[in-house]
Amino acid sequence: MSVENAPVVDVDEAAIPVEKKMYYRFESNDKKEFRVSELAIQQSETLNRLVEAMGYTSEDVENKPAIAIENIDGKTLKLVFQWCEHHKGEAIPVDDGSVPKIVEIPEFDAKLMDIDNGLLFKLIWAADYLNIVQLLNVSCKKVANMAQGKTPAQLRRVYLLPSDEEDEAAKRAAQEAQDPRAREVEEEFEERKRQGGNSFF
Amino acid sequence: MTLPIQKLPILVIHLILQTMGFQDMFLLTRISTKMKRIVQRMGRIPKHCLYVTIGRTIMIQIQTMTYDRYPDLMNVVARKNDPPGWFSPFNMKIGSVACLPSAFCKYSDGQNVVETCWNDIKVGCDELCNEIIELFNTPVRSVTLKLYRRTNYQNEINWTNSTFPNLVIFELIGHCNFQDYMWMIKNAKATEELHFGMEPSGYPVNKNSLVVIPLELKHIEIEHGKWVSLRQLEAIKSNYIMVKEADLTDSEINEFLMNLKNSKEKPKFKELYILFDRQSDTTVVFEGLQDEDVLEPNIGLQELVFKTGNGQKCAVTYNLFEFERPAIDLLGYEVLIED
Repeated sequence: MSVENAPVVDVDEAAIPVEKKMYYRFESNDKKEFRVSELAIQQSETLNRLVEAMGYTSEDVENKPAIAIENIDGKTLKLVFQWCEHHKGEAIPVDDGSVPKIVEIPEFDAKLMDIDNGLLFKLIWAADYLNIVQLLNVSCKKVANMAQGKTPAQLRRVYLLPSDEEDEAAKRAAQEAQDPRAREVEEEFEERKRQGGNSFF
Repeated sequence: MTLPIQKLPILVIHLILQTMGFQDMFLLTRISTKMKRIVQRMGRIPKHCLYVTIGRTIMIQIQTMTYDRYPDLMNVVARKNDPPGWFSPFNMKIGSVACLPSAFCKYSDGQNVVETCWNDIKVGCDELCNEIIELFNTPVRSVTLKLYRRTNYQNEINWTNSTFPNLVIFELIGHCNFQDYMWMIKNAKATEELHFGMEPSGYPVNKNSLVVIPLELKHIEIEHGKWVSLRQLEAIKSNYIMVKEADLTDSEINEFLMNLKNSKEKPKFKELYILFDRQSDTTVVFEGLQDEDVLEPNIGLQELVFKTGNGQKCAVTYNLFEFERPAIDLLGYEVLIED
């Protein structure tokens, strides 16, 4: 996709200081390109460090290839950058270690996260990968809110949590996948036990 | 609508759990050993403690030490029978009980409380407390024992003392006869605070004939203190003392303060409240307390400051004190000691 056709995220021009008006270009893993203001990028610790390290000028931003974000798709990245643009310039919250964490979901964020759980899951991964603290907080709060008023059985279904037996079976399967001989040895052992043998070797 | 949280990075799972209320977190840990381990490894929650209220049912609350109002704190109730208010019933594993009948119950304040049904609610309380402590590392800080229409007081106190040996705050409320009252105040054990709200059905004619009970806690509040004599008051070695409904005369209060003025020994208390539902004559109470270098007469004074025998500053104020729980206004004296 060309730069001209890239989906430009809405920008509140008045909120950006003149000297900071530089837009970086990012590309998702499905080749969708985004222009994001420098101020919005500051919400992401990962991207902020990256652009600082690159030291691009305004010309570089236009002439060099877009910065590739390999493991996030365009649909998710669009949400991420919409969030960053809306919250640009806001202070990044510092974790005070309190539990439970008091997190309010603002109206804009609630609308942004009015998405299916598959996309919400990807958004959380992206917020974590890009280290966007407040986006991670609100998206985690949204997931936490799904638990309200649910019985353990309902929670199990909502969060797809395996039971102890399922965990055990998965663990066994993983071990077997790692060492196919283990299954054979176990079967041989069971067979010998059935035959009344008390010694395996 | 599903979201497989265990497929998220562990720190993100922790963040989701940290933004949940304790109750949801607790119910999540009922699903599997793995979820329980994740919550346990999430880290300590040092600001929170357990507050246990024992009556016909037993309520266990996770609260902050400063009683901050959080919307998502946990209330778990152990009761004998399932009440009509139960909804969404479910079974869960608690301690040694694999399938405990449980449900939500909406309380009048709008809160959804998890209620559990036990054959013996004390066993339930024990199991629930152990389970919550193991999960959240929140010690039991306070027990409130509601002893209304109970007969076997000794069992209740002994059980509380043995079940919660490191209890910080012990509060007792209810009615009993005076003999039981005295037994209870002697035997209720806490490491720091005793809030003694028991109301005896009667008082002895002569409080001065009662055996003096030595009380040595950091903080003691006696709600119905008509039995507290001058000698008893002096035998309370606490940093904070509050005696409501005291039956001390103005002369006796004056005698207590004069002893303070003349004693070379440092009093243990820093704050003392002697409260009653009568008017007091400060002229009598403050008689002889004024330091020699003060020329102002004590007539009509509401407050007096004097030096104690050991050189500390003692400020005595006559005032009206308002209380919310129970709602009552009492007159009385605040005595503050400063070095």
